[in-house]
Amino acid sequence: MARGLPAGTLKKMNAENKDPRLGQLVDSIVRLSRGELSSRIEPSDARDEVDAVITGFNLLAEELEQVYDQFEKRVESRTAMLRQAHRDMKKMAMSDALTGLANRVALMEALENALAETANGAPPPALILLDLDSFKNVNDRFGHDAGDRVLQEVGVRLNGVVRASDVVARLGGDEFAILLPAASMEICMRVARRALEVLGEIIELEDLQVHPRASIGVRLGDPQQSADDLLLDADTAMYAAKREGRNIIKVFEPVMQYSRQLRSQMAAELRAAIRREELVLHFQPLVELATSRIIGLEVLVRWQHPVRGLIPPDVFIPLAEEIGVIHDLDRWVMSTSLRHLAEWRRELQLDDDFQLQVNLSAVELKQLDLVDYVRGLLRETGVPASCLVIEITESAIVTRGEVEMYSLLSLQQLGVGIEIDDFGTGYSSISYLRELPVSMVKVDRSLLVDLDTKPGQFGFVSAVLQLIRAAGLEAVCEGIESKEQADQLRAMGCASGQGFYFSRPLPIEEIKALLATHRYLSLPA
Amino acid sequence: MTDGITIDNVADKLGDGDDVGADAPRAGAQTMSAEGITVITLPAGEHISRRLAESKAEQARALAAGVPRPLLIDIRGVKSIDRNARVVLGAAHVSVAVAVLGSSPVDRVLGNFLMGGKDAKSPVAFFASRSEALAWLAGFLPVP
Repeated sequence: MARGLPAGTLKKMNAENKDPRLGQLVDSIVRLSRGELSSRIEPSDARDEVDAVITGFNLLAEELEQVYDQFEKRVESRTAMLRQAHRDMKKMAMSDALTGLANRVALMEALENALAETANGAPPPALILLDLDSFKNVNDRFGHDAGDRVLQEVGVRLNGVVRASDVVARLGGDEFAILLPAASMEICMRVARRALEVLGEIIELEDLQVHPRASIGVRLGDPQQSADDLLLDADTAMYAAKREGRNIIKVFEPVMQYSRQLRSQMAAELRAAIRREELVLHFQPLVELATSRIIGLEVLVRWQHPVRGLIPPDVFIPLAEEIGVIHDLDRWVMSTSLRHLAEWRRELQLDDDFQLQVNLSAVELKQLDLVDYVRGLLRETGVPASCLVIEITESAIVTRGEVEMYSLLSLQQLGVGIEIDDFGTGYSSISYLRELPVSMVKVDRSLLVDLDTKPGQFGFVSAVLQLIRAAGLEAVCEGIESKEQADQLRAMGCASGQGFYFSRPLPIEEIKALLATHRYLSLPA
Repeated sequence: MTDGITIDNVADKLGDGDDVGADAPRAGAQTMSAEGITVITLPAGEHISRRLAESKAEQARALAAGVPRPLLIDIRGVKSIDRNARVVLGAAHVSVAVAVLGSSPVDRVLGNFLMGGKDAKSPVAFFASRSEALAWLAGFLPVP
């Protein structure tokens, strides 16, 4: 077995009666077990079975080293993949899928970090909140795909007006935010103004043009403030901007908070008011211009607040729309006024064509049960459908939604008159109105303001009235305040109108008394 | 022929070898056997590195001139064949058949590592006798 071994090895082996290579093997196996995978043994020249074991050991160790090495590399690459996946997931969780901007979670995290930096002496962050002014119209009119593209373009534009350190986020819907860490009011206003500027430019998407425009609220943070409070303040400022006329920037002021609180208090009170019947109806006579005959009434709603007194509709109607009680309010107005009309028709000698004009919100027009509701009310009160005219604003139908069109057509089939309110202030063209089931147009009061004084205004209003008649529609003028205006409109061929010249809106008792005694109004000369 | 075949050889005549591995002919001009068996001899007493294996492979490609032939790899007396060299020589399995020739227990271990596992693409066998190896390979020669 030991034949061929070097003489020294043999001698050693003989002396200890043991092959020294076995000891080397044991040592190497121990080293291997400690993780020294590079451990190798030089085989002797004997090339016997022990050398064969040594060679096998070397080869196995080499294999092990190789496998281990590959395993390490694989672990390394898989770990890198895992880290990347984690980063991707985090990015997904922190970003808005549509625009790729930061989302609310990411914004709040960045906001908290920026506030924490103030402890190290950094200037406080500022937050700019932006809400697109008429985004809902884009969605309604052109569909959600178009809406999405507008939102993406808005994201791109906002990214173009900020510093590298700023965070642009989409908070949801058409609401965006810009966080400016370590900001000053000057920096903040500069960014806000640029945002307003870029959103003032038309977005052109293939065949459609959209004016994005935004109401912007700005809040320069306070180091002691929480991220939530900062966001709420910016939001308050943004709502103030929206209320004040849109497409403007408002910087947060504490008084806004008060006004917001007041508003939310008012919202709660309004909800209760509808339940408690604190709302009251006023009626403004509608007059035949040629004869001064009272041909109908426009129903107007007021809020008789127990503390604040009579609140006009321009204060609480937008609030009712905002808090979602407009539906209840509209139905209350409709049912209450129709019951009054039914009572007057029984008790007083009203003309057969005497009409009640009731305003209806855009929201109400979208209710699938509206037609059934109106039909039920007419049946219940015994009021003929032709005695009811529903007034809607141009903006309520400009989108031509399917439900709105269904409601209008069904009401028309029922025999109810449809009137476009505030004509001349919105989007409608006469040719557009001709395609709708509309029978009357109420010309907005703003057209009459300069009728006596502004050169050319007479001709202009006259042309508008002619156009309305040419379209086969009936024109009613509102806001008539003087005999001159009434005479002029009559001369132009306008059949009917309303306004303070004839009568202000009157509470129920007064209107009932008027109707009981007058078919015609006696007017000041 | 295939990549990675290292030829270092001798005009062997079939049946001309002997059974004493270590004493068998190991040097000579690099050519092919008259019978069409390619013989590769790795240098005894050396560690076979990838580089050495590749240089031999280059010669092999030149000698074989692209014809698949039976292959004899003579590993008698080599000190070791490192993993990368084994990869190069292992590619010789695309030859019609491979015989690995060794004489000592060390050769046997090295030879079996060289032959690899079960997934050889062509018949592979270890021989301790050169003549037996050549006889076995002759069975893979094309019938004239």
